[in-house]
Amino acid sequence: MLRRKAVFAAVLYGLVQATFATGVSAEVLWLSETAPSKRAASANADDVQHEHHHVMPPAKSEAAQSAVASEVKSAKKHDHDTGINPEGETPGKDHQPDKQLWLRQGDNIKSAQYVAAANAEEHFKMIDLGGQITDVVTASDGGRLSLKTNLPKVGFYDVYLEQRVVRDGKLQVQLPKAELLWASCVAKDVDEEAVAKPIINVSSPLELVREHAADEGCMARLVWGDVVNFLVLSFGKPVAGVPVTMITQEGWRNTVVSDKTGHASFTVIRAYFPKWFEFKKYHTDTFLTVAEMDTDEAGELGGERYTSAHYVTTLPGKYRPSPYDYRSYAWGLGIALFVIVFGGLAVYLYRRRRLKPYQEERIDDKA
Amino acid sequence: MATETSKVIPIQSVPYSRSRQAGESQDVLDHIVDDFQDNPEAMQYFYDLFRRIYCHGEEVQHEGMLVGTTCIQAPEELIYAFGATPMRLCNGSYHYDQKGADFMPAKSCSLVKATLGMLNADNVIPKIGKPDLIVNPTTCDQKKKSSVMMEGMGYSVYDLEFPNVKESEAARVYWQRSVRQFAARLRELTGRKLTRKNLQEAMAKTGRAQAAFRKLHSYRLKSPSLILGKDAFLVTNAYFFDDIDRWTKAVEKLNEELAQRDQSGFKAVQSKAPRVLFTGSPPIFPNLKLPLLIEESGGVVVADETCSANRMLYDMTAVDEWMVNDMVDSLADKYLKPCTCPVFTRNDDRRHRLLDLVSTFKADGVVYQSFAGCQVYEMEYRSVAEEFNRAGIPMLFVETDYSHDDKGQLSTRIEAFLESLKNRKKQRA
Amino acid sequence: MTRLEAIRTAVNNVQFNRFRFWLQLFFFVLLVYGGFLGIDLGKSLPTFACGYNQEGRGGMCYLMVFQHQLAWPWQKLFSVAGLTVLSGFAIFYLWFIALNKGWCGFVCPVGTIQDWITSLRRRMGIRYSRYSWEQFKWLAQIKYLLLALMFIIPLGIGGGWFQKDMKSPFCMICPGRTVIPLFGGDFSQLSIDFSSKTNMIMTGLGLTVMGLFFVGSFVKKRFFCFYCPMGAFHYLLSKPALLRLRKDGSKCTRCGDCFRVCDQEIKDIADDVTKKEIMTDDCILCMKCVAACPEQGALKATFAGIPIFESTEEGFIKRMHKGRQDGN
Repeated sequence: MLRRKAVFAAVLYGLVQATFATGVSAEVLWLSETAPSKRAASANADDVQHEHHHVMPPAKSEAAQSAVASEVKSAKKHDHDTGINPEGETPGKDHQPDKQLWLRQGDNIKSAQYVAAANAEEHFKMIDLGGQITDVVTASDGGRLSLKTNLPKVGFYDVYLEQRVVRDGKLQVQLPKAELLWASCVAKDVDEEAVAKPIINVSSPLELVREHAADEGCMARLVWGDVVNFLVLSFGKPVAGVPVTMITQEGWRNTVVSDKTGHASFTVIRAYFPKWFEFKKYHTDTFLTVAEMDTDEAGELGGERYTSAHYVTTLPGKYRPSPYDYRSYAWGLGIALFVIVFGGLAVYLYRRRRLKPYQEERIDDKA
Repeated sequence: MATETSKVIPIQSVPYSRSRQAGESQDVLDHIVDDFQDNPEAMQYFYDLFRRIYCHGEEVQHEGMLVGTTCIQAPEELIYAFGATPMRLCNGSYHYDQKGADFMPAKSCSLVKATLGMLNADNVIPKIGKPDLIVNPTTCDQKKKSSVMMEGMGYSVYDLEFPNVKESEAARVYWQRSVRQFAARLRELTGRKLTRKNLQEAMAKTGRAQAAFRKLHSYRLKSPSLILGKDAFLVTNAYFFDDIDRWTKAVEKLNEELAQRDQSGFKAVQSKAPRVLFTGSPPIFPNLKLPLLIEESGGVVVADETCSANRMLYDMTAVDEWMVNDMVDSLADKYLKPCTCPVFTRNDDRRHRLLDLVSTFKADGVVYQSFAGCQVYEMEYRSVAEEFNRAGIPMLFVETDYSHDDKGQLSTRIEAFLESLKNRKKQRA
Repeated sequence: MTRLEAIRTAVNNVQFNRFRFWLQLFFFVLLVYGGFLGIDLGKSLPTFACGYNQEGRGGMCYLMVFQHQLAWPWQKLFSVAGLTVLSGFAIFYLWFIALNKGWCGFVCPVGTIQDWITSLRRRMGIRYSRYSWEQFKWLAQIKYLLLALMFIIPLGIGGGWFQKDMKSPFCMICPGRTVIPLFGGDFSQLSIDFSSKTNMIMTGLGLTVMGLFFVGSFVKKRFFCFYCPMGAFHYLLSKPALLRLRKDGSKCTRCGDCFRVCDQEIKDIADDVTKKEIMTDDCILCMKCVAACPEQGALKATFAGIPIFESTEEGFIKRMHKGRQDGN
């Protein structure tokens, strides 16, 4: 219990610090489907070293907090934690029913740290299309907190985690969320429309819901240039006036305030700039959406009293290169037209002038 | 008295109908009509036609220009489409045969001699008038060489180049080109154009004639026969010069009568009469010597494979696209591919056809006629005989010509042949 | 005449071209727009009901599924999962056996499109082209080459020899992919995909083939069918098929009328008087030959041994006499 408090304390302090620094809590927790890179996974020794950042005895909290803050800021120095596969996931992963999520911390998508698995009893909730709630148990994977799950059916599943801590009389609630999808175009007995509907958790105090396209159950993927609509919900009801920030892998961010229906829209931007011959059309980029809300509510948590609450929820998403960037109608039609015109001309001339003996006498309707 | 006898008695010209030439036709026609029983009523049209044209020397009417043809490979449809009338010039008269012998080698084919004799004569019977063009397909040697001879007689002759091999692609393309050039020549001759409409109408005309012939052909399947071979030959011989529409109507009437005969169970011959397939050099009126001998002796010619009958009218043209170029090429293909004339290098199709006719018409035997001097028919006899031997079909080979001298001898041979056919039938039954 | 004979005669004398036009139109609408009516005949059809026509298709061409499956990694392909390949193939085979290559002549939407282009050419009064017999012989082998590639390339992907971008190599070059979606207003298949060299080349080839398809089928009847690997595939499997084209050589006069009208210019149909089963690998079983044969019973189409369409003299005369004055 005490250790748990210490973790949260560290996290929260970092959060506060980051808020000052960047305007969005730098210590946001979010769930990622991206595995840590191989180098990082094997560097267990380093993990142990860094563990103290996350699992701190209360006494050293002050030092740790700054360390954590600096840790985040100078994340680049720790190579093994910045190892994200720049290629993204290989295509086809979406099609499989078994998924793995890691809890990460920090708003820099590339370099956000993986939360260690020392406190291995985080309880995650998974809700499926039909509203069925399952508790998912976490495990440690290479020292990192992760959860593995096997999706029973085709469709979307949302995973929720709730972490509450009171700091300076304010309740800090972190609500990282992730969407898992088993997409299939060939599965039998699947209602494709129903499968593509987004899931709403009516017991979550703050939730971001991304509106899906009708055929996401099969093939549709978000591509840059698409407009993504988010709904900000609190206990299932839309909330207006909540600032929603979208952060891309390169660090670009855009903040939009939810309107009176709770909607916030973003146009996904391009973040992938390879050389032309290294371009991969299945390359996946991640964005992170963060919404924060302050409320006046009083209460008590674990003996500490609070008079206001601050909710932060995150929702990651994936997107791909837009076909408009690599598909050309002009070229396609150009080639077809060229072949038709020159092929047709060649055939015509061939029919007219080929030195076929005995064809010089032509009989036609004008004979 | 001396002065009276010294008066010159003017020699009056004899009308054609009383000439020796007409007498030949007269005799044959009388034989055909009078010496057989129960001639179909519809045949009267044909008897009258031949009497008028061959015995009385009446003029043969035709529309537009007259294009004479010497072989069945000349595409008639094109001639009709250009508004001209085709007429087959092949002649069966012994009179002209003798005339032709004056300038032809002794061992020549009677048919060619007769045709050339006719064209050379002052008085051409049938009285078709002078052809504006004679189309001479380059088929057998003798037809080929007569081209220049006909020119020498003052006719305008067009050599229609016909291939000697029919299996190769080159031959097919060569023949298509020949036909197209022929169309161009006709265009020049008539001053008209070939259009979709007039070609379709021309093909419809010949198509209808072919359909009528096919119907007649199918009635001859019946056993016992509904009609004798002599009449069938007369019908197809009439096609040479008669107006096609009139001819078609007359044949359709004949078919109707045969349908009635079929219904009423009429028999034109005895049930035991041997059914004979006739093949070889074409019997052309008045030279129906051999078929008549067969039928006099109690046989019946149920089918034939000759170019004065079956081969002329049997094959029908299939067209995929009714545009002029496709119609002309389809015609060309139809005149070449199924042709069973012995002028080709290979005669697989002819043998196949003969076997098919024997089995379909349930013929008991085959009579193979060859005119003396016809190298191609005589050379083909060997392979045909082997084929028939294998199939166990009896065949009689007769080499003859237009003269009447060998009638007696032939009659004996034919009677013997028919007897053997009857015995075979009895044995098998 | 008995009832059966009357029906037989009516069928044998039918205005064949008109009948075929309407039947082809029906199948075209069924396979290209059937999806809008909720029709789904499955994913194992032995004809070009293109899978790229996502909304409208009334069923899917088996080759798309087949190539996808062949491209599985070998471990998966040759394991228990391989049974799905066999079951898919079994359904394809059952569909195929019913109509044999009649799928080509009457059902295939790409074939129907070619026939419409041919009608357009006829209306314009332009003549068609024929291959010379030499050209015919060697061009006819191309479909086997394409069929071999259709097997080898996906298997090669599964075995790691070729890139994943080469998936469905035949679909990339098939004219069905580019042309059929056009009928549903989908022009997206007409673009070149620059995302990788392989994709560039394959989509480029695909559009080249589309250009050649239009030029070729304008001047040659059923141009693409001569090169179609589906046709080659059909022929190799056609032994037990129910719909057959039979010939009675003894009735054939080798007049060549069937050869004259054959879209694929098959000469054997006219010349071979010994074989009983006369459907060759190029044949699309369109039955134009049966309709153009003037000899009774020489050619016939049989279904499970029962003759359903026979060549008759009467039928020939009815069909081939355009411009007859007497109204027959």
